[in-house]
Amino acid sequence: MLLALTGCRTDEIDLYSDNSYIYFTNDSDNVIEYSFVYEPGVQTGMIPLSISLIGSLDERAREVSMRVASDKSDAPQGTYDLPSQTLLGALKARDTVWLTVYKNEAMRDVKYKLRIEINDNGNFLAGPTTNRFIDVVFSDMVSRPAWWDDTIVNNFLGVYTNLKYRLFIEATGTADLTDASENETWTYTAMFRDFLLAGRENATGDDPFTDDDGRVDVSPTFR
Amino acid sequence: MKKFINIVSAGAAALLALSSCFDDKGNYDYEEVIPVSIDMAVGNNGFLSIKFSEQLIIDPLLTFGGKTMNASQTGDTFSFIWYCNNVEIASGPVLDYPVKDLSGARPYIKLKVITNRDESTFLAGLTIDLIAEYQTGWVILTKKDGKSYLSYINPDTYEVYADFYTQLAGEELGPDAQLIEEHWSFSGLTATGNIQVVMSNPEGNIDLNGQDLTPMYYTNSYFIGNEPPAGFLPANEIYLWNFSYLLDTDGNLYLRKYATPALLQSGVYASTPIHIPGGVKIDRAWSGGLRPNVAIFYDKDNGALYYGSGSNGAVIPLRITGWMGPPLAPGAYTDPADMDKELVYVAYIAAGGMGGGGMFYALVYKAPDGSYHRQRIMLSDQGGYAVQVMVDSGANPDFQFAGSGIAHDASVFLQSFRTADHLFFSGGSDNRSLYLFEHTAKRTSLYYTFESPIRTISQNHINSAHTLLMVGLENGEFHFIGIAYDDIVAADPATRFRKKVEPGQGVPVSTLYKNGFGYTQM
Repeated sequence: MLLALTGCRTDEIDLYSDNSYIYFTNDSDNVIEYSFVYEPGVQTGMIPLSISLIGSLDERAREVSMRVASDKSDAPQGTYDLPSQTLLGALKARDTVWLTVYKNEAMRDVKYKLRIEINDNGNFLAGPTTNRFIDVVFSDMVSRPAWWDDTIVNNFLGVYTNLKYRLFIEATGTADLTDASENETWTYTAMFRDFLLAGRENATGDDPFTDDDGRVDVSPTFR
Repeated sequence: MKKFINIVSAGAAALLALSSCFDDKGNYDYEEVIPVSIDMAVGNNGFLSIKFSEQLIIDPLLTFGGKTMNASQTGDTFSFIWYCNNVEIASGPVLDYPVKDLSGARPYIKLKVITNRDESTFLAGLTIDLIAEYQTGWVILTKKDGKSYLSYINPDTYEVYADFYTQLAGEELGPDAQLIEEHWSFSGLTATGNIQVVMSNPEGNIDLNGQDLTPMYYTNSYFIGNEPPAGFLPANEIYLWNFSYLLDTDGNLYLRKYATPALLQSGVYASTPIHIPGGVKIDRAWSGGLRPNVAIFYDKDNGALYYGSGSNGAVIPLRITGWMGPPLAPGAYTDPADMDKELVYVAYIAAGGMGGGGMFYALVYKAPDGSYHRQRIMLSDQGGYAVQVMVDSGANPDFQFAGSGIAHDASVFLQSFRTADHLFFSGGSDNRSLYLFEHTAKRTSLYYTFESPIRTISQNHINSAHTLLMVGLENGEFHFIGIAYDDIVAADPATRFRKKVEPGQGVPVSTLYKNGFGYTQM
């Protein structure tokens, strides 16, 4: 009984003690999703992990204990890096730790999950239980965005395919037309059309832009 | 019901019969209404153009009872009420009203004339075209001490508003201005065109308000994402009906579809160039006339021409599809898809100027031996996806009109807007001579000689009432030369001289006559 009570107490933040606590700014429920597809040409992605302090500021940068929870992760070695030393900067109540992820071919079909936990160390205790870990899911996969609706299909980009979306992002540098005006959508579609034309002209052999749905192209009504 | 109708009919017949028995002995004055015809502004056909800053004074001409006189002379015969867009603005025989106080973009002035004797009423109307202070006139781009200057020359008084850009913009134009062009929106014919200043700098082209000449837009802010491509420097910009093309100094073309063609600037340019097969780079671009829907692009490296369609934004190679006359053997013409000469000028010839439909162009080439040639072609848009190219082979289609001693690299060319037969160009010793080439007669003649080399030629020639060339000289002078019929046939070239203006702003770079309203271009 006594042990149980003691265990409960360690999860609470004692605001009246001299202890300093560190935690992920985002709730642990909020999974961070990252896809290389939205950053054409990028092989190494940098994902910011925000950490926050409860306690006193210090004139020294202080080390934070952070590790990958292997039993809750499936990302293979070599697809990510955490800094060997993670720090909360001097006189900072909030800081950013950068998780590095590396693209590979398998990520086109698979999403990798990584759980990163904060642990107690000599500088900090782990903060609220709701913010002690963060799950990061990273991949190179695409899926049909909500903005690719019937208007986009009929007037601009044609039927959705994953390859078309991937090529569209590569051609235009944008993945999101949610707030694009009709004129902006026209311009992005024209850029995509010219990208396909140039790619086909420069290709040797088979059409480089075909997928299971056939030849990748803009809507036949686009002009 | 039928019975009732019969009773009514019988009653009416009886009344008619009775009334015919009356003999009217009344003493009435049976004077007829005298019609009054009203001419609000003699010779203007219902339209009057007047500057915004002026006073609108109308003393209409009335014709009645065999007499014609101004309203101010009619005494108390009539009453007058003046309306602007159906709101009463004045009474009295003469309208004397500030133009700036008229309401509406194109005010309609209506006059009601009431004959006091019998209150018979007569109406007339007049549409007022408001002319901004700088609606029409000559605009000149000059360069002095490495800086660019824009100035305005009043077309009536020849007064010069020197370096207006610095005053109106509150900053200097800088050294990078290359070219000035007037352009219009493509649905509002009554809208005033803007002046585009092509600037080879990172800020891009500047669009000047056509009414007051103040800067309105910077083209480089019209790229998607508000971000021009890295290193982008404009070389020209062509405004067509639904699309505009932007050419950069690296030979890339960028395309924009207007969000609203009625606006002078709308829509965003792609941040990647149009794909033209073969990695083609464009050296120069021309528009096809005053309110064009066609652009002509020149690929100098490959000696080829391309057609830019204002219908769908396509860029299409110009390949000969037929002949206006008998087919010619290779060597007897210049192939627009494989030119053995350098293209130096594209002259748009107003539709109908050479007969038939389509769009007619005179292409001016420089041959390797230094001689200059012109070839006439007709283009016909096939829905924006293809273009027919017909070469005029009726006469000599590839005519040499100037030897190297006459035209040369410093020559500048100007095709008349309204006289399809006339192509003016500079040349001769030190480029001081102005020549006229007549397409039909295939005749080149000396038109005028100046004391300083010619740098620019522009024209005020939108109709037969405007027949002036402005020739900009290296010494900074601008000479106005007549090109009316009497000038063309004059025996003494000196009679062609009209006026000389010295703005003192340096060497001419690019000039134009500002035509103002879009509808004046039709």
